[in-house]
Amino acid sequence: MADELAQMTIWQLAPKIRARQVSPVEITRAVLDRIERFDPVLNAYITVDAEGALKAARAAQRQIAAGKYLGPLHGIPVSLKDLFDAKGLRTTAGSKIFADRIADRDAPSVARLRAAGAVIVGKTNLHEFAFGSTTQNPHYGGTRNPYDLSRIPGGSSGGSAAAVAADLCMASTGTDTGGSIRTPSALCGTVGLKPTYGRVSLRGIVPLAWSLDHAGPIAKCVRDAALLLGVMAGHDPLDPTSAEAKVPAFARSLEGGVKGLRIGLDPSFCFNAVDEEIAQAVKDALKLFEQMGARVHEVKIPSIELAVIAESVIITAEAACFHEPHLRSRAGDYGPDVRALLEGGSAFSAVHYLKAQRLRRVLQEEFARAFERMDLFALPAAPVTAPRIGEASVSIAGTPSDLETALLRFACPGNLTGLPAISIPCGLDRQGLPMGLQLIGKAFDEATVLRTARAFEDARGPLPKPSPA
Amino acid sequence: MEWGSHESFTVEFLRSQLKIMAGLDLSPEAERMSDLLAALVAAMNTLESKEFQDVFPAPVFRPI
Repeated sequence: MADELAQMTIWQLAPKIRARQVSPVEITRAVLDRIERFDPVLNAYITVDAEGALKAARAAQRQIAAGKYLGPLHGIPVSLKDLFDAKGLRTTAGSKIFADRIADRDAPSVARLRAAGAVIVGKTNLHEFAFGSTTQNPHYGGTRNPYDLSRIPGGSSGGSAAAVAADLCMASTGTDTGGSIRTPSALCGTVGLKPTYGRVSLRGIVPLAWSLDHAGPIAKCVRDAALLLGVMAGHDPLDPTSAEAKVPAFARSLEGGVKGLRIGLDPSFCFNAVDEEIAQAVKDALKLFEQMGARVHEVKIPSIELAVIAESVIITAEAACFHEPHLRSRAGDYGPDVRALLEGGSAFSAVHYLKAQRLRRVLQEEFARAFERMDLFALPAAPVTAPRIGEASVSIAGTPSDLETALLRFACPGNLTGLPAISIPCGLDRQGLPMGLQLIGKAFDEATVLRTARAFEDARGPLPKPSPA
Repeated sequence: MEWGSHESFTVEFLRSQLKIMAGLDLSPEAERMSDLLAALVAAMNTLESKEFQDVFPAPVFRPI
């Protein structure tokens, strides 16, 4: 029974909690039990706060018993990527440098989750300082993919995606600077939503690159992602990147279908340098959208192949700026891959950085023009399924490619434009590994992104669950 | 040495630039990554068309 509870979605559980058929303590114990059984193998968590979680679950139980039900997240155990500050818990950022950094307050997005009644069970593993896609952390150990323990979960929010996929929490938070929500979601078979830049406050979250960072949910299904975003989103006057945009009730507009929606596709980008099975899965998904009444047509984003160059320069330069004092005084405390990227970023000139920002503007304008003729842009979420642990390069259609660069290619247009983008599972490959479909929407139109993703999820049905034992 | 030409972005150049600009010593991993950095610089240097010269940088660090 405990496993059955932990394997439910929030959408399924919330009515049971509200009706007092299931208690927050029961579900929290069920999740903690799975963490105890499976996390020694998966290593999805850096910190598990069993005591704090049970205390919060008991408080939620008392509130609900007293008739003070706060909504669908009340009594739901969630985890936080270990970049988010949660009062009293350490925020390591997956680093040795911040190993003892205890947060003295909640990040606003975390405070919103707590105010909605969510129970924080712990902090999840990540690529060191969120600067990489493997989540093979030199300080806290590597996270394994629940679908195949010999493979990476993706990153940088790899612990969050693995924990959600293996039911070691009901949902999690992630950050996405170059695909760090969407890539692990694609590789672990979860739903990952990078909202519009400015939608979710970045305050209280350790930055990687200020102009590219986004925070959002990683969930078991689209409905749960909508529920989480609805709570995490909102204006934060103390965050200069935060938008004063109205937050719609995302979870209430999920079932409208896709009839009449215009979905754009750039075939020369989407079906180049991508695994054949993933390309086919995306084509199949688009056929399904057409059958459901959407119109799929070709669009051209002329500079899209240059996006990865702009992204690489901006992310390394901004990260090098944030890390400068630590890199000077504690260079040896960084893992070798992250240290090398920071050194590279330190060597770029201001001219290179500004050239990259000009290229970014070109891309933003091309997307803006394309969105005059489309409501969504479809592409793969990742060009490959989960690579084996230790592989630094991947073979795509017989051509070897640097893993990090390959994973950035489909992810970075969303970061450079700031447009909302979701990764949803679109099947398993021949090896039984999840593949992800990505949909990019118009600015602040997460509602259409979520509605379209929900229609696809409903038509496709759920992925088989992993067996992480 | 001129910034930006692919040919000049050698490991030695990277090492000296890092030392001068940031006071840092080049790590062995970054040394191995220098080809990738050089490729990025080379790609940036291809952006020299007249059209591109007229482009203003993207607005950043604020809500879109």
